[in-house]
Amino acid sequence: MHFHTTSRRRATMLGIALVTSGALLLTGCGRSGDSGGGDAGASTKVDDEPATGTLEIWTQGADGAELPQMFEEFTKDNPDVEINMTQIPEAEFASKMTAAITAGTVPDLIYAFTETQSSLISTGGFDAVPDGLVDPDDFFEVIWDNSVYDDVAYGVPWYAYADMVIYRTDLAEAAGAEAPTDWDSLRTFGEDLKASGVEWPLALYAAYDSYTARQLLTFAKQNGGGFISDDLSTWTINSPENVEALEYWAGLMADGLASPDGPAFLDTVSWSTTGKNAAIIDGGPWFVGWFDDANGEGWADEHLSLATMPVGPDGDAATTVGGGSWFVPSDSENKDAAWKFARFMSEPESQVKWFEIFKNMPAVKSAWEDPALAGDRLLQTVEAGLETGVTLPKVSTWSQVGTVIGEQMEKVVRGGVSAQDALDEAQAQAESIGTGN
Amino acid sequence: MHEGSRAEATTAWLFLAPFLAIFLLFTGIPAVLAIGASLTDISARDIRDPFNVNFTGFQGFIDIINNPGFQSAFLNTVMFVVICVPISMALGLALALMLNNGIRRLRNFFRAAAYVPVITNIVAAAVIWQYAFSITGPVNTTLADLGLGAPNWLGEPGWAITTVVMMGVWRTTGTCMILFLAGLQAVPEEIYEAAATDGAGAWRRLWSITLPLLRPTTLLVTVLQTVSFLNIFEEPYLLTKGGPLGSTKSIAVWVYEQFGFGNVSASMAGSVLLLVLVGIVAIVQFRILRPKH
Repeated sequence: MHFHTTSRRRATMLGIALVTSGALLLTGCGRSGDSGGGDAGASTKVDDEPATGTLEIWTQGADGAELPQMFEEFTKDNPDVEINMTQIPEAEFASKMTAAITAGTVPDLIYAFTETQSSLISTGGFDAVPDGLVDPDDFFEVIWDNSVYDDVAYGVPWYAYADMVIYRTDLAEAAGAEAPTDWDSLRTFGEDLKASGVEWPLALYAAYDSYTARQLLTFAKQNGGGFISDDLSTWTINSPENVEALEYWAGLMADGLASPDGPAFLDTVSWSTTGKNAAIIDGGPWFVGWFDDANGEGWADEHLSLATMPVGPDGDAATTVGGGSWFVPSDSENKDAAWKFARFMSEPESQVKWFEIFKNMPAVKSAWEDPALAGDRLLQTVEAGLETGVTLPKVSTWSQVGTVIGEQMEKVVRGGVSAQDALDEAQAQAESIGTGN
Repeated sequence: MHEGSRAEATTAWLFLAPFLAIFLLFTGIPAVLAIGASLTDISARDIRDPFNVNFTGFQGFIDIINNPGFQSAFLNTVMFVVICVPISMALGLALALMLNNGIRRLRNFFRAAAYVPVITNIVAAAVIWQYAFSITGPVNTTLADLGLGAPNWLGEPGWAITTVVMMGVWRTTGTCMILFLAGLQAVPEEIYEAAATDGAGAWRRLWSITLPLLRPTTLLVTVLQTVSFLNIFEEPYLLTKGGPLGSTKSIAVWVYEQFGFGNVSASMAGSVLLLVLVGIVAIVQFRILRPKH
């Protein structure tokens, strides 16, 4: 009996000692101040010699599957570099990257989409873009700025896109529906198609996460609203303009013009191909290539047309702009090769090549003048979009606040909550989360 | 202490040493660090510089206990435990009894069939479940063919919970069955023969012999299943991402989400609370269900 008591006491003491030492290890001293990120980059120089060594790249999303075609281009001039690519599901990317930064087991290079760049940069685990690596003026401002944090650029933009309305011309013709240009005509377009027998005329993002929130932001901007003040200090989620935008968006679902259950991102092509949807609202330009991949070359030309996003009641234009940029983790073991690959991907020829492969628009302005792009019908709508592009709130807590907004949007379409109540709740939660800056 | 028992103890420690080393390295130390982190305001941006954080004591725990998202995840988790544990155990026991007594010729086939979900890759299984239970998936097509309604399995809270429960039960029933089967096969045949001689029928034998003698196995299965469902993550995360309307978000999914948001301290506090909850439940179950000699 005595043995047990002693052993238990000893175990308890040991536990307390371990926890205390763990806590002390983690709390040696107070926060010394916010650190924007890794090295400032001023002293880092990347020369023009070919890259060497092994380059570990983590990819995410559908882009990753096609990327090896660009590796082949890169290794032509850099034969001594070996590229190892690891594909990570997009939904897991942020968690895996945070864990890798924690453990110091990072790859040499990653790309991040606009949605997650702020939160990744705020981990402090990435290096600044070395001076002279690229010229910021070469890129579309809206994309370059997205990875600038406290006046330091952390990402080299890779591509840019602006969403648009992609619609089935054959179905619209059969229904006698005109391409939508504003909120009213978008609704009429949906009603005409519904009347002609299309189950869900409009495809809206309805995953109820930060991507759904991004869609609301577009409608909010079209209505003169927005989620955050210009100086990024105050959330403005429940403004009257935003509430109105949410009422409009949710009304399309309430009236059966869009399904609250999809299409999920990867179902988009099949839903529109089979005529379950007639128009993808907020559709990225890459979808056009996907339709051809799924249905055969030329299908998109025969069945699809493109229009810029509808404008709001007062004629305000806004579309979602996104893209991907390259980032080099501070613990990368081959930063030299990593930056050289990032630089290579931002060269106009590489940008054009990537457009041909994936239909993602170049982030470098001069690449748009290339003959390969000049006759492409996608460009007219995307170009208009890049001029009216909506940037996401550039704060480190955006992923979390965006998810909160997405969850509240779901309550409006599924839970019978009013748009005002939902956005009031989102505003309250966002205020408690803060901006992280 | 006798010389012999000391030698035995040394041998035991030697055999235990590799396990203890691995346990300490991959479970013990991370758990201690997690507890340490949960007592601070550490966030993703501090994680590379652990000296750059503040000690906040139990404030992180108070914050998450007051967090509506965590409260909802807690209630959902309790719901999964309360629904899934009895169902999977009852099904597992029924299957074990069937295999032990009835269909002896096809025992291996049924044992394998019931165990396949346990060894099937959960991600692959979830993809199939997601497809099968989508609005226009094969389940609804079949129901429609039979003239029945087509529920929105993954889009309505009640049905989403049902789907997650079904998958959870599907995946763990095989484990219950194998454990119960092992327990049943340890019951001496003579006891049944004696009872049969005394005129006890099948139900009487089940009630008065099988179930009491299965008590240690039942305890083990109950604890394992409860711990398993307290930690439920894959089914809700892969099937519904915790939705719709957060109805299937478990504590583990909440913890994972917070880590993804960079809220390391809240994530750690959530996981420590889950650890404490698992410990308390396991201890209580051992106390209640421990065989009385």
